[in-house]
Amino acid sequence: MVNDSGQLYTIEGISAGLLMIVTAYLVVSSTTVLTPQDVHITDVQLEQLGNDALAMMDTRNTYTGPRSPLQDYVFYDDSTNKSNFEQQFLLYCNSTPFGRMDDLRFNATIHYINNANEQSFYTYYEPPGYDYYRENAVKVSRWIYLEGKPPNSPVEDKPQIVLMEVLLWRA
Amino acid sequence: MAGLNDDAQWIVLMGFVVSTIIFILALIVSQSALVGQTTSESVLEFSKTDIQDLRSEVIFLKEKGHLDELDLIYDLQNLSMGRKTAVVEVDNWTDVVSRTDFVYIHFNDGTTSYSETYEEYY
Amino acid sequence: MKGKRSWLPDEEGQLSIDFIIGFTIFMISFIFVISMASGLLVGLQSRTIDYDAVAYRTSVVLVEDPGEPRDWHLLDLTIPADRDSLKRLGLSISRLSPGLLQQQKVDAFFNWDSSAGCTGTESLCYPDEYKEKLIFGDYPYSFNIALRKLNESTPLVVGGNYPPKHGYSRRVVKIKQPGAIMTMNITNPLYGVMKTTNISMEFSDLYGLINPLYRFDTLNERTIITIQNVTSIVNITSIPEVCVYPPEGGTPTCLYAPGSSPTILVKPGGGPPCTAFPCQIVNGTEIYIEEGFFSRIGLDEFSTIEIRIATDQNVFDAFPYDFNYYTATLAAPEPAVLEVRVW
Repeated sequence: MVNDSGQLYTIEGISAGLLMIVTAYLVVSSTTVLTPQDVHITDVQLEQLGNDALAMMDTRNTYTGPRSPLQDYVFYDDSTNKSNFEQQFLLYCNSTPFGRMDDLRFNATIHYINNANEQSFYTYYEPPGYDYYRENAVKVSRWIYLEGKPPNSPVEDKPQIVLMEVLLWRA
Repeated sequence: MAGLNDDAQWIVLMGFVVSTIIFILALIVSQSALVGQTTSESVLEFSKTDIQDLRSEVIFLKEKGHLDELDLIYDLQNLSMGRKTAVVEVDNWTDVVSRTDFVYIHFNDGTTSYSETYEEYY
Repeated sequence: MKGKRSWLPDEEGQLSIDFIIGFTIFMISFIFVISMASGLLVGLQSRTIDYDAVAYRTSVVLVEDPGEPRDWHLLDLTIPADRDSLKRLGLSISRLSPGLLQQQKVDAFFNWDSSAGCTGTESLCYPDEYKEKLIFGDYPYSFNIALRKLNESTPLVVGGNYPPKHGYSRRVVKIKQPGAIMTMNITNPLYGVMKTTNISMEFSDLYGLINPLYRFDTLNERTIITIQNVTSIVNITSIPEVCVYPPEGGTPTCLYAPGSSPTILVKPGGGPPCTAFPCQIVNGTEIYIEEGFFSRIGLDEFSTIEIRIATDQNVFDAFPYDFNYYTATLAAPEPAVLEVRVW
């Protein structure tokens, strides 16, 4: 009843199983398991920097001052103030302690609630001549309180809170 | 069972074993995506700057006396939900007996939930 | 003789007992192994050190944490007990104001000494104390931290030269400039009424401002009172006096400004202080109350004091001056950029 005619199958099966188990063991014991990472480090650094720059621009110079510099730039949004916003934001983002200037670019939009109770946005600053970014861009945002309607914006003329979103990338 | 022909059992069994081993390998590889979350990803996930920004704005509104204007709070909530997919609640009340102003701030964006009751003695 | 029908489906439903036993043993062990599969990768650890994470954490401790104790810039580091009570070097003015640094903490942080006797000095020991109180961890990290105010050109640096590959973090901050300034306009001697005047300071009002960025921290920061509108020759006849009112009211206790630092100095024109009285004052003379003078004479956040200035001409009118948030101002906080490198 029991003979050795099935030996070849047995040996084949056992060796195949052994091969699989050894492969699995080698895979698990090695440390080259692929994980998604690394591109996030630059994202973290850029996002923290952009948020810092906006937060510092949003700090009033005196306690009794009605508006912070950022609120001033958005509330009086003529071309001088927009250019001041650009200069100050780039100064904060690109300065380094040892003097070398970094090269970060941005564009800024303002999101608001319009009179139909919908969310809408308008572009506050667009870089002249180029809107194209190659590397990862991060988005940083800051709440801004407006007492009324800035002259060049489509918002309603009443006190409101808007959200400024800045897209920041490395040129 | 003397005459039962079970020659095919080995082939079926080996096939079964091979498929389960492939299944285990697939499980290991799929787990690697979960295991490999680096510090940077968890830093990005935690919305520290959103919470700090919200707090700073609410305290600014309190300093300038605008916290009772419900339109502003509505703007905050609506834009938070639309742009940051975060639920925000801001409430304020005063306890005349202990002469304290309370401001309650709540933020929840799905991964992080933050609640604070800010007290100011006047 | 069922041999020739073996390829047809057997409807009797019988399996050989060997097969069943073997398969059962196999399934039990298979289920056992599968349930352990979820823990297979738990022990997996990256061999490379994430320096960027350490740099980010260090920058957060510096920029968003006031440190432990939160006014560690007032500690006297020559006393070993004080030096031991310093647990964490953070530069922020308070835990609720991230990104806003205190100038005195910045100055104390960059005051380092790498010599052997550094524990007896006012400086922080480089690199050990920075590793213990800022970087944390058992691994011997090397670091380089640099801070530059945007209106200056030279950075404050602690740490050595860094290799091309390192963990990096850059933050933008604002530093609260210490020292409130009040301008005191005196009158023409022809119209003045009195030769002496009082400058009153109510500390409970000053410390009542909740927002720490704009608060006048007179106990720990310097205060300057500038005399303007000097139109003729006027001399201050004696050292300024400080009169402290007791908590329940009543007559104040007055004392003259001491000779040693910290004290009240009179600096004519903002230059070197008067060494002998009477001392002539000009436009822009500063009555310079040095940092830590009010703590030295034992005042706290509830004190009420008056500073008495005596001159030899009738240059003051009948009303005393009041030092408060309406009459004095603080310089605007200055933006700065901070870089942390770890390797």
